[in-house]
Amino acid sequence: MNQVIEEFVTVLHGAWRFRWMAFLVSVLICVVGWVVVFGLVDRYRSNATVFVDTNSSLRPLLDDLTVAPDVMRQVDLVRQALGGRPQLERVARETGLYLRAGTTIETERLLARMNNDVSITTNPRRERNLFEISFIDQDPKMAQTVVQTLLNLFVEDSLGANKQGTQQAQKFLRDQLALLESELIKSEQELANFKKANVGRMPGETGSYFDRLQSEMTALENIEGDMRLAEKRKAALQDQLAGENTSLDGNAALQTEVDVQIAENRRRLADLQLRFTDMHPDVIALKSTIEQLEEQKKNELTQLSQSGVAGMVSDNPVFQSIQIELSKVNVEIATLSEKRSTSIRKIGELRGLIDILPEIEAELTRLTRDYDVKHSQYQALLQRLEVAELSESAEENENIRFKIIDPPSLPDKPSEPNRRLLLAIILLVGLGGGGAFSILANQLKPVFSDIRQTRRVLGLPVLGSVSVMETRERKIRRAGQISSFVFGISTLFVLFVVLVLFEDAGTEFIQRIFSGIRGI
Amino acid sequence: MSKIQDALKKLQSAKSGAGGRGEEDRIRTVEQVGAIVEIGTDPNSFAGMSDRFVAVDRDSLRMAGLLAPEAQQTEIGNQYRLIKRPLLNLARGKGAHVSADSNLIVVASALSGDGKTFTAINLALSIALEKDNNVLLVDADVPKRHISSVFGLKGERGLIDLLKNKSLGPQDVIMETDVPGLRILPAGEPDEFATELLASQRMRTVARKLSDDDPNRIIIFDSPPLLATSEAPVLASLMGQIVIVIKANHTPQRAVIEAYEKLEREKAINIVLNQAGGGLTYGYYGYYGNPGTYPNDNS
Repeated sequence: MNQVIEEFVTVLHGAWRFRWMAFLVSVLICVVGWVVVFGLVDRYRSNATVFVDTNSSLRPLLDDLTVAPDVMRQVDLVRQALGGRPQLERVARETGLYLRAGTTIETERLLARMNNDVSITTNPRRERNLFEISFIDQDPKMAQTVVQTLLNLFVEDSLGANKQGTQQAQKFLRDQLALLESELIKSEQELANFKKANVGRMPGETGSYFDRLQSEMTALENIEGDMRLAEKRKAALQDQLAGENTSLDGNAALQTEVDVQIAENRRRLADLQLRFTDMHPDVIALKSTIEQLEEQKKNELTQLSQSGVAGMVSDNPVFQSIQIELSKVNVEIATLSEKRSTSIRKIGELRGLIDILPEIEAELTRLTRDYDVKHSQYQALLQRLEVAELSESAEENENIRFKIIDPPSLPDKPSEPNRRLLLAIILLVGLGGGGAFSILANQLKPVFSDIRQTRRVLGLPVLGSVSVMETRERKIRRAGQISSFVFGISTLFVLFVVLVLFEDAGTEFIQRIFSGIRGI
Repeated sequence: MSKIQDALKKLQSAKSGAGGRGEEDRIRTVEQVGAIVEIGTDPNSFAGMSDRFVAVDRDSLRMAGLLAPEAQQTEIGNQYRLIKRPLLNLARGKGAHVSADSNLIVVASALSGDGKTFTAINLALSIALEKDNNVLLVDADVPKRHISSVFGLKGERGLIDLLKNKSLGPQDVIMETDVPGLRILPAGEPDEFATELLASQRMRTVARKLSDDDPNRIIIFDSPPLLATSEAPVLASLMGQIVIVIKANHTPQRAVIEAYEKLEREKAINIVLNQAGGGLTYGYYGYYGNPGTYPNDNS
């Protein structure tokens, strides 16, 4: 601690050498500063207090149904917005502040100044709904007018901003709605087209496909069964045919119907011919019948021979009937074969169709889902639009009531600047500046104050130090130095006191000079 | 002799007129002081050295501000006791920088007004008290000649004459004083080539002679300021020890450093801080355990 004090004293000693220059610096700072302080223009602050009442009777009803506009938030937004440029311009115009500014630069400065000087605040510790609006200006009347205008704007905008907000929201919703609608229609169309293109293949109907496949397959089975049978018959008949020779004399195992009829009719004829002559009508009839049957048989034979049965045209009635039967069977086989191939084809088709059925189902699902989604979006949006419209009308009924607690005040005393305080501050700054200057000067032109320091700086041994000789003359000189300096400093203080006492006169004087200079 | 009579008159009037303490305490610059000291011849001259004699008047010195006021005599006397010790040690052959010239000590400073003359005189007076040593105080500050003035030796032959005239020897110019152990060599006749003379070989020879003559002799040179003149560093180079005087809270650090740079580093250079005052623990510090006392201590 002692060392600190010692070093401090050393610095003082060194700085003392520059005391008069330091004094000059102090005086300069003080004089300039004081003149500036006196040159500051008085400004007056006008205050108004406003209560924003957001309790309305409608609110509890609407709370669930509508998007209840958060009134406090919108007031906050307004508070921010009121400081915005367009609003300030409006205020400047309406209050006549614009008249003060001539050039664009001046206007800019004016608006910037307004931005600084307008204050809209809430006191968070007190009632949250209380707003304080204030403005500060050289002219107390103007300050009041500005606050009044701000107040009016505040009220207007709070009501209007929200309305505009909902209208904008509605417009937005409507636009979205139109967009969605067109998309929905497109989606619907796609779905319809798809359904049309895939009629009968829709998921609900595909059960029949499988049934059809099933029945086709069953039918095929039957056909093939029949074919097998027919083949068997054919084989049997062919065997029979091979066993039977082409002449009449042979055992007729199998006889066709026609042959049987012919044989019967011949027997009947023989019977008749025993009793009657060939002139009898029955005999004639019977003979023609037999002719017809023979004709039929002949036709069948030719048919058979035409149908390619081993070219065996013979007059063995049994053989002939077998041949007829054989040809019938062949026809049957051909027919069945035809049926079979048709059936197989059908089955193939069905199978093919069935393969793509899942894809169709998937696609259908997708299209349907797409449509559903769009549809529900659309519905939702539609609902929101309805809600917004509803709340808008609700709001128009809802009163955001403002109550002016304190109207804009007309200040009679300037609220700034606090000249006395500023003068004192300037004094301190001046003294401090002078002190700092002297210390700085000491640092820049240092001397040797004591042995330790000397040794440290030079690195040379110090033999010792010799005291100052305290002669009376020296003492007197010293005293003189100190007292003259103290006197100088005290004049500064005296000047300060004088200025404080004659604050108003000083202000007037300086400001008159300034306006005179500005006038030049 | 009229000069002497004037001086005597002045002295007597000064003494009688010095009633109030105001007179005594008045500090005058050295220039203002005229011949205030008696000059005479001493029948009992020392060992054939010289037959020229000067009486040292302490009161006058005090009035000139070259001696401490009576109230501080002891204090300052003690301070010089401390200061002279390392110088003497080295001169006697103790310590690191021992050389043949260790008994040649120059008292120099960076600028004028730092207290060279004061220091030279007081150091000389302090060393004169030594039992084993005697002092020769040489006024080598040829431009200003403080010491010569103060002791009233302005017109006397001195160093310059010694340098110019090879036929002269030290004994021809050295003056005895009434202070036992103290002798003075004045500056001598002014010469426009004083600088060159001081820088000449002759000076070297003279210095060597003075040094070798008596091993117990301590020769103290008062020199011109190191920064103001060119002969000061030259003079310093002939010396065995250099004492730089700094005026506390006055001499700028820059000046001292510049002056130091003009000197040869191999020399034994020491500092004396003049007119240092104040400080809460100063008295303690200055008296006890001052680590700067010995030349070998560089801490």
